[in-house]
Amino acid sequence: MAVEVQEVGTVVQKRFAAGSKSDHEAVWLECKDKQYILRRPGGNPFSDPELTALVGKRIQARGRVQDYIFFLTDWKNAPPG
Amino acid sequence: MTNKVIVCNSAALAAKYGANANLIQNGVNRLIAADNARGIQSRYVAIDDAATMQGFHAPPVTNPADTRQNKDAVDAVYGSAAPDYILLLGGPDLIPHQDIVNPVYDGNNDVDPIAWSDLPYACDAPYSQNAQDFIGPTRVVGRLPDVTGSADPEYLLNLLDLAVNYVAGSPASYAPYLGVTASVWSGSTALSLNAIFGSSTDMQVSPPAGPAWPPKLFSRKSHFFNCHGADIDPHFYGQQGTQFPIALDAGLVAGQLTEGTVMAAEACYAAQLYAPAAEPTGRMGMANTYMSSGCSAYFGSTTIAYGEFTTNADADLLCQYFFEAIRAGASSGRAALQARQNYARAGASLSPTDLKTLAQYLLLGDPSIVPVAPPVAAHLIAGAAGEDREHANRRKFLIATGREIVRTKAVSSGRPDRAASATLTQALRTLAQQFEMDEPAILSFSVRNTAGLESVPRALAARAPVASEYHIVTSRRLVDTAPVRLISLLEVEASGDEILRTRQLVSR
Repeated sequence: MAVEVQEVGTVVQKRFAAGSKSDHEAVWLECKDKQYILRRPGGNPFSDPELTALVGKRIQARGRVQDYIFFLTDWKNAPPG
Repeated sequence: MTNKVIVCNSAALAAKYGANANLIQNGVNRLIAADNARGIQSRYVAIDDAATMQGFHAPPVTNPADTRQNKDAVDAVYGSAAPDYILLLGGPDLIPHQDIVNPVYDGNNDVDPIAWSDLPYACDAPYSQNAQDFIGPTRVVGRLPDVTGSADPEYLLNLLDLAVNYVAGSPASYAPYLGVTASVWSGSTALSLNAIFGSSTDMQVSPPAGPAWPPKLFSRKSHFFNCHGADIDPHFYGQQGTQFPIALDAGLVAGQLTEGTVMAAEACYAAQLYAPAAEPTGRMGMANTYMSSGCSAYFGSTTIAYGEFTTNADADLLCQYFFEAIRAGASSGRAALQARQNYARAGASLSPTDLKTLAQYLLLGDPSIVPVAPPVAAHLIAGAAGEDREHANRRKFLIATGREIVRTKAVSSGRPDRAASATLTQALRTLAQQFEMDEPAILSFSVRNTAGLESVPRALAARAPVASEYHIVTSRRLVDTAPVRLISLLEVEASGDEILRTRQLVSR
Protein backbone atom coordinates (compact mmCIF):
# COMPACT_ATOMS: atom_id res chain seq x y z
CA MET A 1 0.00 0.00 0.00
CA ALA A 2 1.39 3.45 -0.95
CA VAL A 3 2.18 5.75 1.94
CA GLU A 4 2.92 9.49 1.78
CA VAL A 5 6.26 10.14 3.47
CA GLN A 6 9.17 12.47 3.91
CA GLU A 7 12.69 11.15 4.07
CA VAL A 8 16.15 12.64 4.25
CA GLY A 9 18.94 10.85 2.47
CA THR A 10 21.73 10.92 -0.05
CA VAL A 11 21.02 10.23 -3.69
CA VAL A 12 23.41 7.65 -5.11
CA GLN A 13 23.65 5.65 -8.26
CA LYS A 14 24.36 1.95 -8.10
CA ARG A 15 23.49 -1.27 -9.76
CA PHE A 16 20.02 -2.70 -9.26
CA ALA A 17 18.92 -6.29 -9.84
CA ALA A 18 22.33 -7.29 -11.15
CA GLY A 19 22.25 -10.15 -13.64
CA SER A 20 18.51 -10.00 -14.01
CA LYS A 21 16.25 -8.59 -16.67
CA SER A 22 15.94 -5.40 -14.60
CA ASP A 23 19.68 -4.92 -14.34
CA HIS A 24 20.62 -1.25 -14.64
CA GLU A 25 22.32 1.64 -12.88
CA ALA A 26 19.50 2.85 -10.70
CA VAL A 27 19.16 6.01 -8.66
CA TRP A 28 18.71 5.28 -4.97
CA LEU A 29 17.85 7.33 -1.93
CA GLU A 30 20.06 6.10 0.90
CA CYS A 31 18.55 7.09 4.22
CA LYS A 32 19.84 6.40 7.70
CA ASP A 33 18.26 2.96 8.13
CA LYS A 34 16.92 2.09 4.73
CA GLN A 35 17.29 2.65 1.04
CA TYR A 36 14.79 3.11 -1.75
CA ILE A 37 14.82 3.10 -5.51
CA LEU A 38 13.95 6.65 -6.56
CA ARG A 39 11.39 7.14 -9.30
CA ARG A 40 9.43 10.09 -10.56
CA PRO A 41 5.71 9.55 -11.20
CA GLY A 42 5.45 8.91 -14.92
CA GLY A 43 9.24 8.86 -15.29
CA ASN A 44 11.31 6.16 -16.95
CA PRO A 45 12.25 3.72 -14.17
CA PHE A 46 15.48 2.73 -15.96
CA SER A 47 16.82 6.07 -17.07
CA ASP A 48 15.58 9.41 -15.77
CA PRO A 49 17.96 12.35 -16.36
CA GLU A 50 16.12 14.48 -13.82
CA LEU A 51 16.88 11.94 -11.10
CA THR A 52 20.41 11.32 -12.34
CA ALA A 53 21.01 15.04 -11.88
CA LEU A 54 20.36 14.57 -8.14
CA VAL A 55 23.13 12.01 -7.68
CA GLY A 56 25.51 13.12 -4.97
CA LYS A 57 23.02 15.49 -3.33
CA ARG A 58 21.62 15.15 0.16
CA ILE A 59 17.93 15.88 -0.08
CA GLN A 60 14.71 15.99 1.86
CA ALA A 61 12.42 13.97 -0.34
CA ARG A 62 8.66 13.93 -0.30
CA GLY A 63 6.52 11.39 -2.06
CA ARG A 64 4.91 8.00 -1.82
CA VAL A 65 6.58 4.78 -0.83
CA GLN A 66 5.50 1.46 -2.29
CA ASP A 67 7.61 -1.42 -1.03
CA TYR A 68 11.19 -0.44 -2.00
CA ILE A 69 10.22 2.36 -4.39
CA PHE A 70 10.10 6.05 -3.46
CA PHE A 71 7.91 7.92 -5.94
CA LEU A 72 9.41 11.39 -5.63
CA THR A 73 6.98 14.28 -5.92
CA ASP A 74 9.05 17.04 -4.36
CA TRP A 75 12.49 17.60 -2.92
CA LYS A 76 14.77 20.22 -1.47
CA ASN A 77 18.36 20.34 -0.40
CA ALA A 78 19.00 18.98 3.07
CA PRO A 79 21.85 19.93 5.38
CA PRO A 80 24.76 17.52 5.57
CA GLY A 81 24.07 14.56 7.85
CA MET B 1 -16.19 -35.68 -19.31
CA THR B 2 -13.62 -32.90 -19.17
CA ASN B 3 -14.25 -30.86 -16.08
CA LYS B 4 -13.23 -27.53 -14.66
CA VAL B 5 -13.56 -25.78 -11.33
CA ILE B 6 -13.88 -22.02 -11.11
CA VAL B 7 -12.50 -21.17 -7.70
CA CYS B 8 -13.29 -17.96 -5.92
CA ASN B 9 -13.96 -16.51 -2.50
CA SER B 10 -17.58 -15.38 -2.57
CA ALA B 11 -17.35 -13.34 0.60
CA ALA B 12 -14.31 -11.48 -0.70
CA LEU B 13 -16.13 -10.98 -4.00
CA ALA B 14 -19.15 -9.53 -2.21
CA ALA B 15 -17.00 -7.34 0.02
CA LYS B 16 -15.21 -5.96 -3.02
CA TYR B 17 -18.10 -5.53 -5.42
CA GLY B 18 -21.12 -5.18 -3.16
CA ALA B 19 -24.41 -5.71 -5.03
CA ASN B 20 -22.45 -5.98 -8.29
CA ALA B 21 -21.11 -9.34 -7.13
CA ASN B 22 -24.36 -10.76 -8.52
CA LEU B 23 -23.43 -9.48 -11.96
CA ILE B 24 -20.17 -11.34 -11.73
CA GLN B 25 -21.95 -14.51 -10.62
CA ASN B 26 -24.15 -14.16 -13.70
CA GLY B 27 -21.03 -13.82 -15.82
CA VAL B 28 -19.65 -16.98 -14.27
CA ASN B 29 -22.91 -18.77 -15.04
CA ARG B 30 -22.60 -17.68 -18.68
CA LEU B 31 -19.09 -19.11 -18.76
CA ILE B 32 -20.30 -22.37 -17.26
CA ALA B 33 -23.00 -22.59 -19.93
CA ALA B 34 -20.50 -21.85 -22.67
CA ASP B 35 -18.11 -24.47 -21.28
CA ASN B 36 -20.94 -26.99 -21.24
CA ALA B 37 -21.59 -26.33 -24.91
CA ARG B 38 -17.89 -26.99 -25.54
CA GLY B 39 -18.01 -30.27 -23.68
CA ILE B 40 -16.49 -29.01 -20.44
CA GLN B 41 -18.41 -29.58 -17.24
CA SER B 42 -17.62 -26.54 -15.10
CA ARG B 43 -18.68 -25.63 -11.63
CA TYR B 44 -18.17 -22.64 -9.41
CA VAL B 45 -16.55 -23.44 -6.07
CA ALA B 46 -16.75 -20.90 -3.29
CA ILE B 47 -13.83 -21.91 -1.12
CA ASP B 48 -15.12 -19.74 1.72
CA ASP B 49 -18.47 -21.52 1.88
CA ALA B 50 -18.59 -24.11 4.65
CA ALA B 51 -21.26 -26.26 3.03
CA THR B 52 -19.42 -26.28 -0.29
CA MET B 53 -16.09 -27.17 1.26
CA GLN B 54 -17.69 -29.89 3.37
CA GLY B 55 -18.32 -31.62 0.07
CA PHE B 56 -14.55 -31.57 -0.45
CA HIS B 57 -13.88 -32.72 3.13
CA ALA B 58 -12.11 -29.52 3.98
CA PRO B 59 -12.67 -26.42 6.10
CA PRO B 60 -13.64 -23.19 4.37
CA VAL B 61 -11.28 -20.27 3.87
CA THR B 62 -12.06 -17.82 6.65
CA ASN B 63 -9.39 -15.25 5.78
CA PRO B 64 -9.21 -14.46 2.06
CA ALA B 65 -5.65 -13.19 2.44
CA ASP B 66 -4.39 -16.33 4.18
CA THR B 67 -2.13 -18.07 1.71
CA ARG B 68 -2.11 -21.38 3.57
CA GLN B 69 -5.89 -21.54 3.82
CA ASN B 70 -6.25 -20.82 0.11
CA LYS B 71 -3.65 -23.43 -0.84
CA ASP B 72 -5.27 -26.02 1.42
CA ALA B 73 -8.68 -25.28 -0.08
CA VAL B 74 -7.51 -25.64 -3.68
CA ASP B 75 -5.67 -28.85 -2.76
CA ALA B 76 -8.85 -30.24 -1.21
CA VAL B 77 -10.93 -29.37 -4.27
CA TYR B 78 -8.37 -30.97 -6.57
CA GLY B 79 -7.92 -34.02 -4.37
CA SER B 80 -11.65 -34.67 -4.38
CA ALA B 81 -12.73 -33.67 -7.88
CA ALA B 82 -9.52 -34.05 -9.92
CA PRO B 83 -10.58 -31.28 -12.29
CA ASP B 84 -8.87 -31.08 -15.65
CA TYR B 85 -8.69 -27.31 -15.24
CA ILE B 86 -8.52 -25.03 -12.22
CA LEU B 87 -9.53 -21.44 -12.92
CA LEU B 88 -8.68 -19.00 -10.14
CA LEU B 89 -11.24 -16.24 -10.46
CA GLY B 90 -9.99 -12.78 -9.56
CA GLY B 91 -6.76 -11.07 -8.70
CA PRO B 92 -4.76 -11.43 -5.50
CA ASP B 93 -7.31 -9.64 -3.37
CA LEU B 94 -9.78 -12.45 -4.09
CA ILE B 95 -7.42 -15.43 -4.34
CA PRO B 96 -3.93 -14.53 -3.14
CA HIS B 97 -0.75 -15.45 -4.92
CA GLN B 98 1.25 -17.88 -2.85
CA ASP B 99 4.08 -16.36 -0.84
CA ILE B 100 7.19 -18.27 -1.84
CA VAL B 101 10.37 -16.89 -0.30
CA ASN B 102 12.67 -15.71 -3.09
CA PRO B 103 15.80 -17.87 -2.94
CA VAL B 104 18.01 -15.16 -4.42
CA TYR B 105 16.74 -12.21 -2.42
CA ASP B 106 19.57 -10.15 -0.97
CA GLY B 107 17.94 -6.74 -0.66
CA ASN B 108 20.48 -4.99 -2.89
CA ASN B 109 20.37 -6.76 -6.21
CA ASP B 110 17.28 -8.91 -6.13
CA VAL B 111 14.89 -6.85 -4.04
CA ASP B 112 11.93 -9.23 -4.09
CA PRO B 113 11.69 -10.89 -0.68
CA ILE B 114 8.74 -12.91 -2.01
CA ALA B 115 8.37 -14.50 -5.45
CA TRP B 116 4.59 -14.14 -5.71
CA SER B 117 3.37 -17.30 -7.31
CA ASP B 118 0.45 -19.37 -8.57
CA LEU B 119 2.76 -22.38 -8.99
CA PRO B 120 1.83 -24.01 -5.65
CA TYR B 121 -1.81 -24.17 -6.76
CA ALA B 122 -0.55 -26.39 -9.58
CA CYS B 123 1.38 -28.71 -7.28
CA ASP B 124 0.47 -31.61 -5.02
CA ALA B 125 2.95 -30.49 -2.34
CA PRO B 126 1.21 -28.94 0.67
CA TYR B 127 1.52 -25.31 1.64
CA SER B 128 5.08 -24.10 2.05
CA GLN B 129 7.07 -20.96 1.47
CA ASN B 130 10.04 -22.94 0.20
CA ALA B 131 10.49 -22.85 -3.57
CA GLN B 132 12.28 -26.17 -3.35
CA ASP B 133 8.96 -27.85 -2.58
CA PHE B 134 7.27 -26.83 -5.81
CA ILE B 135 9.31 -28.24 -8.68
CA GLY B 136 6.88 -30.90 -9.90
CA PRO B 137 3.61 -29.29 -10.96
CA THR B 138 0.86 -31.68 -12.00
CA ARG B 139 -2.25 -29.50 -12.40
CA VAL B 140 -3.53 -27.23 -15.14
CA VAL B 141 -4.14 -23.83 -13.54
CA GLY B 142 -4.85 -20.33 -14.81
CA ARG B 143 -6.06 -17.10 -13.29
CA LEU B 144 -8.71 -14.81 -14.70
CA PRO B 145 -7.76 -11.59 -12.95
CA ASP B 146 -9.81 -8.62 -11.94
CA VAL B 147 -8.26 -5.25 -11.08
CA THR B 148 -6.65 -5.18 -7.66
CA GLY B 149 -8.28 -2.58 -5.45
CA SER B 150 -11.00 -1.65 -7.96
CA ALA B 151 -14.70 -2.27 -7.38
CA ASP B 152 -15.79 -1.69 -10.97
CA PRO B 153 -17.27 -5.03 -12.10
CA GLU B 154 -17.03 -4.18 -15.81
CA TYR B 155 -13.43 -5.34 -16.05
CA LEU B 156 -14.06 -8.88 -14.83
CA LEU B 157 -17.37 -9.09 -16.68
CA ASN B 158 -15.50 -8.23 -19.87
CA LEU B 159 -12.94 -10.98 -19.25
CA LEU B 160 -15.67 -13.51 -18.51
CA ASP B 161 -17.45 -12.59 -21.73
CA LEU B 162 -14.24 -12.88 -23.70
CA ALA B 163 -13.80 -16.38 -22.27
CA VAL B 164 -17.42 -17.22 -23.13
CA ASN B 165 -17.01 -16.12 -26.72
CA TYR B 166 -13.55 -17.41 -27.55
CA VAL B 167 -13.08 -19.47 -30.66
CA ALA B 168 -9.92 -21.43 -31.39
CA GLY B 169 -7.91 -20.02 -34.26
CA SER B 170 -6.18 -21.79 -37.08
CA PRO B 171 -2.49 -22.61 -36.72
CA ALA B 172 -1.84 -20.25 -39.62
CA SER B 173 -3.42 -17.37 -37.71
CA TYR B 174 -0.79 -17.72 -34.97
CA ALA B 175 2.20 -18.00 -37.28
CA PRO B 176 2.83 -14.27 -37.73
CA TYR B 177 4.14 -12.70 -34.55
CA LEU B 178 4.89 -9.43 -32.88
CA GLY B 179 8.27 -10.31 -31.39
CA VAL B 180 10.00 -7.40 -29.66
CA THR B 181 13.39 -7.42 -28.03
CA ALA B 182 15.57 -5.01 -26.15
CA SER B 183 18.45 -4.41 -28.53
CA VAL B 184 20.97 -5.83 -26.04
CA TRP B 185 19.10 -9.16 -25.99
CA SER B 186 18.63 -9.54 -29.73
CA GLY B 187 20.74 -12.67 -29.84
CA SER B 188 18.71 -14.44 -27.20
CA THR B 189 15.37 -13.35 -28.63
CA ALA B 190 16.33 -14.45 -32.12
CA LEU B 191 16.99 -17.95 -30.77
CA SER B 192 13.59 -17.96 -29.07
CA LEU B 193 11.72 -16.74 -32.14
CA ASN B 194 13.46 -19.27 -34.34
CA ALA B 195 12.52 -22.04 -31.95
CA ILE B 196 8.87 -20.99 -31.66
CA PHE B 197 8.08 -19.63 -35.11
CA GLY B 198 10.80 -21.04 -37.29
CA SER B 199 12.19 -17.60 -38.11
CA SER B 200 13.35 -14.42 -36.43
CA THR B 201 13.35 -12.20 -39.50
CA ASP B 202 10.34 -10.29 -38.19
CA MET B 203 11.98 -9.49 -34.85
CA GLN B 204 11.44 -5.88 -33.79
CA VAL B 205 14.33 -4.26 -31.93
CA SER B 206 13.98 -1.52 -29.34
CA PRO B 207 15.56 0.88 -29.87
CA PRO B 208 14.85 2.08 -32.43
CA ALA B 209 11.46 0.45 -32.94
CA GLY B 210 8.31 1.01 -30.84
CA PRO B 211 6.30 1.80 -28.85
CA ALA B 212 3.68 2.90 -31.38
CA TRP B 213 3.50 -0.46 -33.14
CA PRO B 214 1.53 -0.27 -36.39
CA PRO B 215 -1.82 -2.07 -36.48
CA LYS B 216 -0.49 -4.70 -38.88
CA LEU B 217 1.93 -5.81 -36.12
CA PHE B 218 -0.24 -5.21 -33.07
CA SER B 219 -3.07 -7.20 -34.61
CA ARG B 220 -0.97 -10.35 -34.91
CA LYS B 221 -2.20 -12.94 -32.45
CA SER B 222 1.20 -14.14 -31.22
CA HIS B 223 3.09 -11.67 -29.04
CA PHE B 224 6.55 -12.36 -27.63
CA PHE B 225 8.31 -9.61 -25.70
CA ASN B 226 11.85 -9.83 -24.32
CA CYS B 227 12.25 -6.39 -22.78
CA HIS B 228 12.72 -4.73 -19.44
CA GLY B 229 9.84 -4.23 -17.05
CA ALA B 230 9.60 -2.43 -13.74
CA ASP B 231 7.70 -2.73 -10.49
CA ILE B 232 4.36 -0.89 -10.62
CA ASP B 233 4.91 0.42 -14.11
CA PRO B 234 2.70 0.06 -17.22
CA HIS B 235 5.49 -0.14 -19.79
CA PHE B 236 8.08 -2.46 -21.25
CA TYR B 237 11.43 -0.94 -22.12
CA GLY B 238 14.10 -1.63 -24.69
CA GLN B 239 17.79 -1.08 -24.13
CA GLN B 240 20.80 0.00 -26.13
CA GLY B 241 23.78 0.90 -23.95
CA THR B 242 22.43 3.20 -21.25
CA GLN B 243 19.32 4.13 -23.22
CA PHE B 244 16.08 2.52 -22.10
CA PRO B 245 13.34 3.75 -24.43
CA ILE B 246 9.74 2.62 -24.04
CA ALA B 247 9.12 -0.49 -26.17
CA LEU B 248 5.49 -1.08 -25.22
CA ASP B 249 3.07 1.31 -23.53
CA ALA B 250 -0.05 -0.15 -21.92
CA GLY B 251 -1.81 3.08 -22.82
CA LEU B 252 -1.37 2.25 -26.51
CA VAL B 253 -2.67 -1.33 -26.29
CA ALA B 254 -6.41 -0.81 -25.85
CA GLY B 255 -8.32 -1.47 -29.05
CA GLN B 256 -5.24 -2.76 -30.87
CA LEU B 257 -5.27 -6.45 -30.05
CA THR B 258 -7.04 -9.16 -31.98
CA GLU B 259 -9.24 -11.31 -29.77
CA GLY B 260 -7.43 -14.50 -28.92
CA THR B 261 -3.98 -12.89 -28.74
CA VAL B 262 -1.44 -14.94 -26.81
CA MET B 263 1.40 -13.12 -25.02
CA ALA B 264 4.59 -14.48 -23.52
CA ALA B 265 6.42 -11.66 -21.76
CA GLU B 266 9.94 -12.03 -20.44
CA ALA B 267 9.99 -8.61 -18.76
CA CYS B 268 10.37 -8.30 -15.02
CA TYR B 269 6.99 -7.72 -13.35
CA ALA B 270 5.18 -8.34 -16.66
CA ALA B 271 2.37 -10.24 -14.91
CA GLN B 272 2.25 -8.06 -11.81
CA LEU B 273 -1.38 -7.36 -10.91
CA TYR B 274 -0.76 -4.16 -9.00
CA ALA B 275 -3.50 -1.81 -7.84
CA PRO B 276 -3.65 1.14 -10.27
CA ALA B 277 -3.95 3.41 -7.25
CA ALA B 278 -0.37 2.44 -6.35
CA GLU B 279 0.92 3.75 -9.69
CA PRO B 280 1.36 7.51 -9.41
CA THR B 281 -0.53 8.20 -12.63
CA GLY B 282 -3.24 5.67 -11.77
CA ARG B 283 -2.68 3.44 -14.79
CA MET B 284 -3.41 -0.26 -14.97
CA GLY B 285 -0.48 -2.59 -15.56
CA MET B 286 0.43 -4.34 -18.79
CA ALA B 287 -1.06 -7.71 -17.85
CA ASN B 288 -4.43 -6.29 -16.81
CA THR B 289 -4.46 -4.13 -19.96
CA TYR B 290 -3.68 -6.99 -22.28
CA MET B 291 -6.35 -9.21 -20.74
CA SER B 292 -9.07 -6.60 -21.06
CA SER B 293 -8.04 -5.86 -24.64
CA GLY B 294 -8.75 -9.37 -25.91
CA CYS B 295 -5.67 -11.36 -24.92
CA SER B 296 -6.80 -14.87 -24.03
CA ALA B 297 -3.53 -16.13 -22.53
CA TYR B 298 -0.80 -14.04 -20.91
CA PHE B 299 2.29 -15.77 -19.54
CA GLY B 300 4.56 -13.57 -17.48
CA SER B 301 6.45 -12.98 -14.25
CA THR B 302 5.29 -11.33 -11.05
CA THR B 303 8.77 -10.19 -10.03
CA ILE B 304 12.39 -9.64 -11.19
CA ALA B 305 13.20 -12.24 -13.83
CA TYR B 306 16.41 -13.68 -15.27
CA GLY B 307 17.57 -14.55 -18.75
CA GLU B 308 20.59 -14.38 -21.05
CA PHE B 309 22.10 -12.02 -23.57
CA THR B 310 22.91 -14.26 -26.49
CA THR B 311 21.74 -17.71 -25.45
CA ASN B 312 18.54 -18.97 -23.84
CA ALA B 313 18.12 -19.61 -20.13
CA ASP B 314 15.63 -19.03 -17.33
CA ALA B 315 12.77 -16.85 -18.58
CA ASP B 316 13.88 -17.29 -22.20
CA LEU B 317 13.32 -21.03 -21.99
CA LEU B 318 10.16 -21.00 -19.92
CA CYS B 319 8.42 -18.57 -22.29
CA GLN B 320 9.67 -20.50 -25.29
CA TYR B 321 8.30 -23.78 -23.97
CA PHE B 322 4.95 -22.12 -23.26
CA PHE B 323 4.57 -20.76 -26.76
CA GLU B 324 5.71 -23.99 -28.40
CA ALA B 325 2.95 -25.85 -26.58
CA ILE B 326 0.40 -23.21 -27.54
CA ARG B 327 1.31 -23.51 -31.19
CA ALA B 328 1.08 -27.29 -30.97
CA GLY B 329 -2.58 -26.99 -29.93
CA ALA B 330 -2.43 -27.20 -26.14
CA SER B 331 -4.90 -25.37 -23.96
CA SER B 332 -3.27 -22.33 -22.40
CA GLY B 333 -3.29 -24.05 -19.01
CA ARG B 334 -1.70 -27.23 -20.34
CA ALA B 335 0.87 -25.11 -22.16
CA ALA B 336 1.80 -23.45 -18.88
CA LEU B 337 2.05 -26.82 -17.11
CA GLN B 338 4.15 -28.35 -19.88
CA ALA B 339 6.41 -25.30 -19.90
CA ARG B 340 6.98 -25.64 -16.15
CA GLN B 341 7.64 -29.36 -16.41
CA ASN B 342 9.97 -29.03 -19.40
CA TYR B 343 11.89 -26.32 -17.58
CA ALA B 344 12.13 -28.33 -14.37
CA ARG B 345 13.34 -31.43 -16.20
CA ALA B 346 16.09 -29.70 -18.17
CA GLY B 347 19.64 -29.75 -16.85
CA ALA B 348 21.27 -31.75 -14.09
CA SER B 349 19.81 -29.80 -11.18
CA LEU B 350 17.66 -26.80 -10.38
CA SER B 351 19.57 -23.77 -9.13
CA PRO B 352 18.27 -20.97 -6.88
CA THR B 353 17.52 -18.78 -9.92
CA ASP B 354 15.78 -21.73 -11.59
CA LEU B 355 13.55 -21.99 -8.52
CA LYS B 356 12.67 -18.32 -8.67
CA THR B 357 11.99 -18.58 -12.41
CA LEU B 358 9.62 -21.50 -11.92
CA ALA B 359 7.84 -19.79 -9.06
CA GLN B 360 7.37 -16.36 -10.57
CA TYR B 361 5.85 -17.22 -13.95
CA LEU B 362 2.10 -17.65 -14.12
CA LEU B 363 -0.73 -17.88 -16.59
CA LEU B 364 -3.41 -15.24 -16.80
CA GLY B 365 -6.48 -16.40 -18.68
CA ASP B 366 -8.99 -19.22 -18.64
CA PRO B 367 -6.74 -22.32 -18.65
CA SER B 368 -9.26 -24.31 -20.72
CA ILE B 369 -9.03 -21.96 -23.68
CA VAL B 370 -7.32 -23.57 -26.66
CA PRO B 371 -5.96 -20.69 -28.73
CA VAL B 372 -4.74 -22.81 -31.65
CA ALA B 373 -7.07 -25.50 -32.94
CA PRO B 374 -5.07 -28.70 -32.53
CA PRO B 375 -4.61 -31.21 -35.28
CA VAL B 376 -6.80 -34.26 -34.87
CA ALA B 377 -5.45 -37.71 -35.59
CA ALA B 378 -8.67 -39.17 -36.98
CA HIS B 379 -7.58 -42.76 -36.65
CA LEU B 380 -6.96 -42.32 -32.92
CA ILE B 381 -10.07 -40.43 -31.89
CA ALA B 382 -13.46 -42.09 -32.00
CA GLY B 383 -16.07 -39.51 -31.04
CA ALA B 384 -16.52 -37.72 -27.75
CA ALA B 385 -15.66 -40.76 -25.64
CA GLY B 386 -12.40 -41.19 -27.52
CA GLU B 387 -11.52 -37.54 -27.10
CA ASP B 388 -12.23 -37.70 -23.41
CA ARG B 389 -10.04 -40.75 -23.09
CA GLU B 390 -7.20 -38.99 -24.91
CA HIS B 391 -7.65 -35.98 -22.67
CA ALA B 392 -7.60 -38.11 -19.52
CA ASN B 393 -4.51 -39.95 -20.73
CA ARG B 394 -2.73 -36.64 -21.26
CA ARG B 395 -3.60 -35.59 -17.73
CA LYS B 396 -2.35 -38.88 -16.34
CA PHE B 397 0.93 -38.47 -18.19
CA LEU B 398 1.34 -34.93 -16.94
CA ILE B 399 0.66 -36.03 -13.36
CA ALA B 400 3.17 -38.85 -13.67
CA THR B 401 5.72 -36.44 -15.12
CA GLY B 402 5.30 -33.96 -12.29
CA ARG B 403 5.65 -36.63 -9.66
CA GLU B 404 8.71 -38.06 -11.38
CA ILE B 405 10.36 -34.64 -11.27
CA VAL B 406 9.75 -34.39 -7.53
CA ARG B 407 11.08 -37.87 -6.99
CA THR B 408 14.25 -37.64 -9.03
CA LYS B 409 15.31 -34.07 -9.67
CA ALA B 410 18.34 -32.65 -7.89
CA VAL B 411 17.35 -29.28 -6.55
CA SER B 412 18.84 -26.42 -4.61
CA SER B 413 17.48 -25.45 -1.25
CA GLY B 414 14.91 -22.70 -1.51
CA ARG B 415 16.74 -20.56 1.03
CA PRO B 416 20.43 -20.01 1.83
CA ASP B 417 21.03 -22.75 4.38
CA ARG B 418 24.75 -23.13 4.69
CA ALA B 419 27.97 -21.22 4.81
CA ALA B 420 30.75 -21.78 2.34
CA SER B 421 33.92 -23.16 3.88
CA ALA B 422 36.83 -20.79 4.40
CA THR B 423 38.67 -22.41 1.50
CA LEU B 424 35.71 -22.15 -0.84
CA THR B 425 34.93 -18.60 0.30
CA GLN B 426 38.42 -17.57 -0.70
CA ALA B 427 38.03 -19.31 -4.03
CA LEU B 428 34.73 -17.52 -4.63
CA ARG B 429 36.26 -14.15 -3.73
CA THR B 430 39.10 -14.83 -6.17
CA LEU B 431 36.52 -15.71 -8.82
CA ALA B 432 34.58 -12.54 -8.08
CA GLN B 433 37.75 -10.48 -8.49
CA GLN B 434 38.26 -12.00 -11.93
CA PHE B 435 34.84 -10.65 -12.85
CA GLU B 436 35.59 -7.24 -11.32
CA MET B 437 33.06 -7.76 -8.55
CA ASP B 438 34.08 -5.78 -5.49
CA GLU B 439 32.80 -6.55 -2.02
CA PRO B 440 31.01 -9.72 -3.09
CA ALA B 441 28.19 -11.12 -1.00
CA ILE B 442 27.77 -14.88 -1.00
CA LEU B 443 24.52 -16.79 -0.55
CA SER B 444 25.04 -20.57 -0.18
CA PHE B 445 22.53 -23.34 -0.77
CA SER B 446 22.63 -27.09 -0.26
CA VAL B 447 21.45 -29.43 -3.04
CA ARG B 448 19.16 -32.34 -2.28
CA ASN B 449 17.97 -35.35 -4.22
CA THR B 450 21.25 -36.08 -5.95
CA ALA B 451 20.96 -39.87 -5.77
CA GLY B 452 19.89 -40.15 -9.38
CA LEU B 453 22.93 -38.26 -10.60
CA GLU B 454 25.26 -40.19 -8.35
CA SER B 455 24.13 -43.65 -9.44
CA VAL B 456 25.80 -43.48 -12.86
CA PRO B 457 28.84 -45.38 -14.13
CA ARG B 458 31.90 -44.39 -12.13
CA ALA B 459 33.81 -43.19 -15.17
CA LEU B 460 31.03 -40.75 -16.00
CA ALA B 461 30.70 -39.62 -12.40
CA ALA B 462 34.43 -38.84 -12.33
CA ARG B 463 34.09 -36.61 -15.40
CA ALA B 464 31.14 -34.67 -13.99
CA PRO B 465 30.98 -34.68 -10.20
CA VAL B 466 27.59 -33.94 -8.73
CA ALA B 467 27.14 -30.50 -7.24
CA SER B 468 26.39 -30.51 -3.53
CA GLU B 469 26.04 -26.75 -3.21
CA TYR B 470 25.07 -23.65 -5.11
CA HIS B 471 26.60 -20.29 -4.30
CA ILE B 472 25.19 -17.02 -5.56
CA VAL B 473 27.87 -14.34 -5.62
CA THR B 474 26.67 -10.77 -5.98
CA SER B 475 28.44 -7.46 -6.03
CA ARG B 476 27.41 -4.63 -3.77
CA ARG B 477 29.79 -2.13 -5.29
CA LEU B 478 28.65 1.47 -5.27
CA VAL B 479 29.47 2.85 -8.68
CA ASP B 480 29.31 6.27 -10.22
CA THR B 481 29.74 5.01 -13.72
CA ALA B 482 30.13 1.49 -14.94
CA PRO B 483 30.43 -0.25 -18.23
CA VAL B 484 27.08 -1.74 -19.13
CA ARG B 485 28.55 -5.23 -19.39
CA LEU B 486 29.89 -5.30 -15.80
CA ILE B 487 29.19 -8.78 -14.49
CA SER B 488 27.62 -8.60 -11.04
CA LEU B 489 26.04 -11.96 -10.35
CA LEU B 490 27.59 -15.39 -10.52
CA GLU B 491 25.84 -18.68 -9.94
CA VAL B 492 28.44 -21.24 -8.86
CA GLU B 493 28.00 -25.00 -8.52
CA ALA B 494 30.40 -26.65 -6.11
CA SER B 495 31.15 -30.01 -4.62
CA GLY B 496 32.74 -29.41 -1.24
CA ASP B 497 35.61 -27.02 -1.90
CA GLU B 498 35.73 -27.72 -5.60
CA ILE B 499 34.09 -25.27 -8.01
CA LEU B 500 32.44 -27.33 -10.74
CA ARG B 501 30.67 -24.78 -12.88
CA THR B 502 30.21 -21.03 -12.97
CA ARG B 503 27.36 -19.34 -14.70
CA GLN B 504 27.47 -15.64 -15.37
CA LEU B 505 24.11 -13.95 -15.09
CA VAL B 506 25.39 -11.16 -17.26
CA SER B 507 24.42 -7.58 -16.63
CA ARG B 508 22.26 -6.01 -19.32
